[in-house]
Amino acid sequence: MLEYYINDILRSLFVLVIIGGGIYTVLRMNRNRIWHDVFRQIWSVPIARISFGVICLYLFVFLLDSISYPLFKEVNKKHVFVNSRTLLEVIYTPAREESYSAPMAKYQFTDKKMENKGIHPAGTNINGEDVLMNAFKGIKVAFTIGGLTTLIILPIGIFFGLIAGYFGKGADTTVTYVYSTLACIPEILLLIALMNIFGNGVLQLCIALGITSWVGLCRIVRGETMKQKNMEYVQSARALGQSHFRIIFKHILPNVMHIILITSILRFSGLVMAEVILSYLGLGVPPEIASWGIMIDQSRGELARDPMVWWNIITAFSFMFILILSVNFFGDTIRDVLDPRTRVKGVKA
Amino acid sequence: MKEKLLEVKDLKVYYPKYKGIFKKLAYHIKAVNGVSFSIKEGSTLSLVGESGCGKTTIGKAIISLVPVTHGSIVYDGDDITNIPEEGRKKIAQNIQIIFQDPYGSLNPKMKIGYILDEAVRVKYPGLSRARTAEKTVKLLEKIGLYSNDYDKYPHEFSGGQRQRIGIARAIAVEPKCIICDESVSALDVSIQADIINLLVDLQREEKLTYLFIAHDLSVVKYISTDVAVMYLGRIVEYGSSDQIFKTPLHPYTISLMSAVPEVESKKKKRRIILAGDVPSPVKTPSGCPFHPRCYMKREECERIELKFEEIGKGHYTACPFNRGVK
Repeated sequence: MLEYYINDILRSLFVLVIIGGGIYTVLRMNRNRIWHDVFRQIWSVPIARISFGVICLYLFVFLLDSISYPLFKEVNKKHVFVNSRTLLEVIYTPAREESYSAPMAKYQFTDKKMENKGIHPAGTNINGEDVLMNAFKGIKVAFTIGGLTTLIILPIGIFFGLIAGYFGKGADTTVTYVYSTLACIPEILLLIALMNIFGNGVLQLCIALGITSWVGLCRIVRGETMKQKNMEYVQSARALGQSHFRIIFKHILPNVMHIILITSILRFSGLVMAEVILSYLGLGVPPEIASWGIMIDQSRGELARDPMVWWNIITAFSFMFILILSVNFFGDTIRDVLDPRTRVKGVKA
Repeated sequence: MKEKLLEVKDLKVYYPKYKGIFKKLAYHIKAVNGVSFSIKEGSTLSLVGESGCGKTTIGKAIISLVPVTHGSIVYDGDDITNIPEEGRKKIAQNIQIIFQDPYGSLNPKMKIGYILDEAVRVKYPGLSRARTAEKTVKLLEKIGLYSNDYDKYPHEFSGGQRQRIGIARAIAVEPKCIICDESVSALDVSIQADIINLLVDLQREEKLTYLFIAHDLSVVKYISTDVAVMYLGRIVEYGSSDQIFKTPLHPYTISLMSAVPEVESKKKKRRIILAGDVPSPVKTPSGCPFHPRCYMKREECERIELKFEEIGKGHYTACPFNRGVK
């Protein structure tokens, strides 16, 4: 019994630590005058404020869906584990129907407690599951895959990009060969191959996406590092006798940080889409997990039915569309503020 | 006073260029091609010459920012040619460099205080944070900035102020020798004067030795005790500031001098305009490298073996013909 508690607590803690770490980092950066200016500039763009709000809403649902506790049932005076119950399920508990029901339909099949109260705002799917609930749960999958994959590619991409760009010669050749080889293989084919090796699953998908998508980040970091290492401040640091390690991480890394930030935010939306595409192809998350890709996959046949079952695909698609649109708008604003080439108002950084 | 604080012997810096898929060595770019000089403690040696003649490369080679192909650099009796990674800190405490570009030479993401603290810590490792900051503030005041500049970022300063910060970083390690790599070329003339006066004051106070790399001869005249004129990776004339400016011997020096604008002189100087460009450092001309552009060219210039001859006391020239007899 205890192990179930520990399992749930650890999982909730992991998410809390990641999100808390993110918030802490942003607050810490806000104390730095340069970043404070950057944040203020981003905040002054209305579309960025709106999309940030939307992302926060998604994050809130994600958080609700991530904090869970185990549920037990008493069978023969013994506690038997039923399942993990998340906060989201506590707040929103739709009834399970027998099969399809249209959007805004009232609960038909209820247990005693529910007593026919409530509606399915987005209908139910073939298994009678509430579509809105599934879409909410899809947020968790999307954020897990987007976030975890970003966490995987960040250290790999940054480290190899910095090393290749700074040292050049052999290190550069090696890293370039590795990522050029990876980039030669069509991404979707490589993903299919990797998923066939690893098998279905969220973590497996993250690793597969990580393997294919660190290349972009690495390439950009490498290019920027090559530019920075010829700046005179790097030479001054060398003249002061600073070690290569210190120069790379203390002097150059802060100067390529903005590129890393832009790339990883814009990459995030790509990862969410990749999950949907792969799940649609049956290679992503296992079908029992509610994800947008699975929902869209299910609705392949539904669209041909008469009457047409459109709510499943529309709900999943809107959830994905709004998230990706917001992330892209937000990322674009960040790029406009940070990237010197697109910088309009001119942040001195 | 040491007679030879820094000595450069037959320094050659070649950049190899590779071609083709097998990276075959195609040719060398001879940036510095056999340069020797020495600097007396407390004096200022200026290296002058056109762009691309290897002045900056010499400066960088001295502190091992570029690898030396041949020759040696001796600082205070120690060979510091191509120092390995571990030896860098020790050299850094003795020789420092001030760069040309006041905008590129300060890390834009670091506060001034942090930049200078880092330099102070090279000299005094293990000093407490408060003591380091104290030293940094003293440095800021010494170079004419204020203690509240400690928390500012480089973009909050003007070009002249940034150059002062660059100087502060160099003197933070209390070096004996400073290489000024075109340190005033990027500045306004009025600010140039400020910076040069600051450099001169510092030299007097701290008994600094300067290797002053420049192409502005009026600045050089003001600051230097010795001057070395470079052409295509070689020194063509070497002597005290007086000797070079009053009795230039090498035709290249003479033509350089003729290009210096003067405010006072009433009579119009004859300007010697050199034809053509600096030849490529890949294929240096035979004989005297200056002969394709020399206005005193003789036929034998294409074949002669170059010798560096002492004409007057401490005055050397590479031209075997012009002896200053007018």
